[in-house]
Amino acid sequence: MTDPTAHPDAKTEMDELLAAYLDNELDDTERSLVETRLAEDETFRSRLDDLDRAWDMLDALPKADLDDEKFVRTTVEMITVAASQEIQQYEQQRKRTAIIRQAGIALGIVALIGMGYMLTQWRLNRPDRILVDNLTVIENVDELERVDNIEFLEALRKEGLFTGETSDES
Amino acid sequence: MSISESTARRYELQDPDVRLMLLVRDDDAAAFEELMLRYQRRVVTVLEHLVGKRDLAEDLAQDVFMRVYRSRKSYVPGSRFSTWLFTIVNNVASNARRSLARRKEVQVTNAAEQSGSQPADPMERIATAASGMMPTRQLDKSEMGSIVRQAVESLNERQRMAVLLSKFEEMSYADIAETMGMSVQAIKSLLSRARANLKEALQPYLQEGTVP
Repeated sequence: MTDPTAHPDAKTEMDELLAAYLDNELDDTERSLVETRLAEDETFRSRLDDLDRAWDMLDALPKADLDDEKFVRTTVEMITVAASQEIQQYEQQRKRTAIIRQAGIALGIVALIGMGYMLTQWRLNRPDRILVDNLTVIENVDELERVDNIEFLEALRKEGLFTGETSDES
Repeated sequence: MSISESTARRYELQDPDVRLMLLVRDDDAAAFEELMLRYQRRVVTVLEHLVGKRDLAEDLAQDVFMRVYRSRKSYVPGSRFSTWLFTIVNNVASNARRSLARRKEVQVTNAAEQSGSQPADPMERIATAASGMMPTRQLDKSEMGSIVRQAVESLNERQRMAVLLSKFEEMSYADIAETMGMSVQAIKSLLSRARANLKEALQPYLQEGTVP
């Protein structure tokens, strides 16, 4: 005869086996072994009876006594309210997204204009541009150096002899 | 975890509630009401035993069904519908218990003072009741219900959930394991300990439902 109190592990093992047996969770071989032992071992059988009776007592637990229609109605109402709030939030979110997108596009355009302006300025002011503009003078620098009179050179410039150079009047 | 098409198809064929949920996924309001009618009492019952308060259990049950409705579009049948539903119940109950525990931390001193000589531990209450000086007599239905409820309350949260799913939902160990996010072996041990604890708590009443 088994004494389940003799070894705690043995008792735990016995309880697991009996619980699984009662819950119909054993395979055929295990079930057969349990049933053989139940037939032979009174302590084993007694433990099974106790566990089973305690389990059956759970039938005395009170069950929920609901007003079914009311529960469904109030739950559906809650879901409807929650859904309408979600739709509102979605709409607000959509508007915010649209505003952010439009602001982004506007900022992008401003940035492009700014970059275009800066690029143009850079191209206009770059050092080789000055050289190109003054190419005629550079080509004739030796001759022009021989002229001591600045008024004479001014007169030549006004007559447009330095091709590509802008006159003061224009 | 992704669910294969064949698994989803299998559960769709096997479980009428899965088919209802698939209709809910397609915005069929009547199917949703039908599912609620089928499960609301079961959900409230389990929640009531998990959180110990009827009003709170009803509020939480509504929260459960709201979550079901909200997640309808992403629903793919990877298990029986009840397994999926009670996974949500378990999560909702866990969250509620955490909130309750935080509140109880504040209230525990006052509650202990107000309860007078009655022990706070359900196991202790049962033992006190069983060892009272009353003569042996037959328990009526409400007394028995109250004693069994206290015995269930004496279980830890996991044991209680496993017991409720096994007893009232008749779930297999595999389904309970999936619902509670544990292994089948862990559920086997959990239910075994729960049965042993219940047996200990109810021992004085096991002989034909009498008060000793």
